[in-house]
Formats: sequence, structure tokens, C-alpha cells
Amino acid sequence: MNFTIILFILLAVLLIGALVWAIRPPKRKLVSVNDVLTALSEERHYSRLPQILQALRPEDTAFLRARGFVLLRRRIRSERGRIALLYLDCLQEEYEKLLEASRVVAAMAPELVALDEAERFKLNLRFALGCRYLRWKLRLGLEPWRGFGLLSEMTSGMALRLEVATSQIGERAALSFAVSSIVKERDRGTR
Amino acid sequence: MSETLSLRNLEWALTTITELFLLVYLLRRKLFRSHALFFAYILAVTLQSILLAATYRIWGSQSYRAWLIAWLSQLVMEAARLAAVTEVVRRVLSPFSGIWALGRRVLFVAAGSVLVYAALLSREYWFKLPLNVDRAMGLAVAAVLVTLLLFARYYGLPMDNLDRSLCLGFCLYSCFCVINDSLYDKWLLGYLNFWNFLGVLTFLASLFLWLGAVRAYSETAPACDPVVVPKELYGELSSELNIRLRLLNEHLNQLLHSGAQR
Repeated sequence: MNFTIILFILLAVLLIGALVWAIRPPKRKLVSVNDVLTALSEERHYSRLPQILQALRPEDTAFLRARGFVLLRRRIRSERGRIALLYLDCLQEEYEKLLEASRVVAAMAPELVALDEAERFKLNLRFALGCRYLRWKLRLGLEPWRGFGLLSEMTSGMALRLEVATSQIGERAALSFAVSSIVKERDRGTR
Repeated sequence: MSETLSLRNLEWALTTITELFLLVYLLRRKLFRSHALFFAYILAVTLQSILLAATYRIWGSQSYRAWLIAWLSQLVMEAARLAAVTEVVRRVLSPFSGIWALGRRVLFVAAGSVLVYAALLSREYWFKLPLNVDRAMGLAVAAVLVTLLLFARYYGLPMDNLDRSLCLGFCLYSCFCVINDSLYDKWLLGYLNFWNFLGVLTFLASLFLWLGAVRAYSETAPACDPVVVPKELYGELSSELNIRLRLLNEHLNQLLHSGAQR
């Protein structure tokens, strides 16, 4: 059979598959403008990251093995894995809330910055894949970092970038009030 | 062969009756105003059925004239289908000016690339131009609609049942057109009647889908205009949200890489 014909048929079947996926009603609930503002001002989970990272380090429990408490060490590590999973849930929840907020903002915008939207889409894909991967590793009791020997170490540069980003967020927190006032004004106008 | 022919005639009759029912419902529900191009498309399809029936009766279905009229009218139908699809896209996206501005560019690129792709792959079959145009348009329409639905899903845009059914009907019909045309191109040259039968059957399925949606359509309270924020504010909020999202991504990366720093 001609390759071109197969390509056409394959493409049509793929489009039908994508249609079936896209036509399903979305699972997530739509959020209001107020929810966006809450998402922007809520407490973050970032502050707990150092403890979680510390707890996941094998050296943190290595002394137990050295002293012969292998079972205890295993139990502690599994407990810590469970806690890491809970942390991951919180992280994902926060991520999804922010993503939802960004969609609400996009729907309100008179013009979208295509690059911002594309970056968000890319970040979303990366986060979803990374999250799924990490979750499965933790669930299976595997140490997620074992397979990452080639991955670069966490550098002080990254920590610095995080610091800068966090401070930028603080500076921009005031913006949410501006949105709030616009919405209120509009609400008053329509009443 | 004669069985297929009589079945095809029955199918044609059923399709024309369904089209008429759909037109009546569109008129009764006053949807010809809000869905003017869709109404025009259904009207054109009905007129095409009548035109083809008359042509086949006068010149016979195997004559050159009948072939020419059938394909020329089909080209008009392709244009009408594209217009009706554009109307749906506009209705779903245009209330959100930012998304509409980005969306129409994305959809234009999607449709353009599919058309170029189809044209490039079909260049050796230039003598089958009408078939290739039909297939390329089908693929472009399906790509546009799937992209629209993905867009609407991603941004959580509201979409009423009628628009959803229109997308579903047009997209399924277009995809089956592509498959039908491709199979006909290769295998079914000797089975013209059967090919016609399949084509009309898929269109009939779409007609039933639209009829059901139009019948169930009820005028709901008009949705309030979406809130619009100034462009600068959107820019600030958007970049802030992106920073936060990037931050969370980097936290996840730290978790993934945590064991490596020993």
C-alpha cells in the first residue's frame, strides 16, 4: 500500500483520537478571579524543601545501617518517602492552582504574549512528566536519584536564581490588588 | 450492485429529509442569526442534493457533465464547510480577545501547514485534483477543530452543547472523508457506489448529531462579558505566574536531583 495513503489515514485516525480526548469535559473546576488572587497570595510550600531534601538523602540514615539497624532504617526511609509524596502532592496542587490562575488571567487579557503562553505550556509539560516520574519512583520505594547519576548537581547558582525569583514575586505582590480593584469597579458598574 | 444502489437512494432520501428537518429546526430556534454560516451550509448541502438528483436524472450518473457538476458543487460545499467552521471558531474564541488574537494565528498556521502538507503529498496525483482538494480540506478542517477544542480545553473556555456537537460532527465527517478519499484513491476505484454510500453515511451521522443538538438547544441567559484587564497588567501577572511556575519546576528538579549531591 502506498506510503502516502497510509500517512493520510494515520493522520485522520490520530485526529479522531485527539478529538475524542479533547471533547471530554474538563475535570478541573473553573476558578473565579478571586481564586486567582488567593492563589497569588497564598502561603507557599517552598520553605519546607530543605527539610524534605535532607530527609531524602541516603547519608541522613546511613548511620543506622552502620550500627546494624537495617530494618529500622528501611522503615524510616519508607516513612520519609511517604512524606515526600505528600509534599509532592502539595507542590502539584500549588502548581495546578497557579496554572489555572494563569489561564484565568489569559482569558481576561486583551492580548496574549505568545512567548509567555508557550513557556507556560512547556513548563506544564515538564512539570507533569517530572511529577509523574518522581511519584512512581517514590511509590515503588525506589530512590529517585539513583538513576540520575549523570544529572547535574544542584548548584549554588540555582539557589541564587530562586532567591532572585522569590524576591521578584514579593515586589509584584501588589499587582494583585490592582486586578482586584478592576474587578470590583467592573462589578459595581454592571450592577 | 443494484442492492447498493437502492440502499444508496434510500440513504440520499433520508439525508435530504434530515437536512430539511435540521433547516426547519434552525429556523424555529432562530439559530439562523447566530449560526448564519452553518445555516447557509446546510441550505447549500440541501440544494446540492437536489441539483445532483436532477443532474443524474437528466444526464445519468456516469456522464462527464454529471461528474463535472458533482465536483464543482463539491468545491462550493468545501468553501461553505470552511466558512461554517470559521464561524464556530470565532464564536468560541472571540469573546476572549487575548485568546482570540493568539488562537486565530495558531489555527491559521495549523490549517495552512496541513494544506501545504496535503498538497505536497498529493502532487503526484494532480489529475485527481477534486479528490485531493476534498481530502486536504477535510484534513485542514479536522486539524482546525481539534486545535480549537484543545485550546478551549486548555484555557477552560465555555462552550455550549451545540457548538461542541458542531465541532464533533464536522470533525468526524472530515476525518472519515480523508479516510474514504484515501481508500477510494487506492482500492475502491471499481466501487464508486459503495464509496458514495460510505461518504453519505458519515454525513448522515453528523446530521443526526447536529439535529439532536439543535433540538435540545435552549436560549440560556446571555453570558456576561468577560472581565478585561489592561495589557500591561496582564504582562506583569503573566510573567509573575511564569516565574512561580518555573520556581515550582525547579523545586521538583531539586527533588529529582537531590541524591546526586553527595
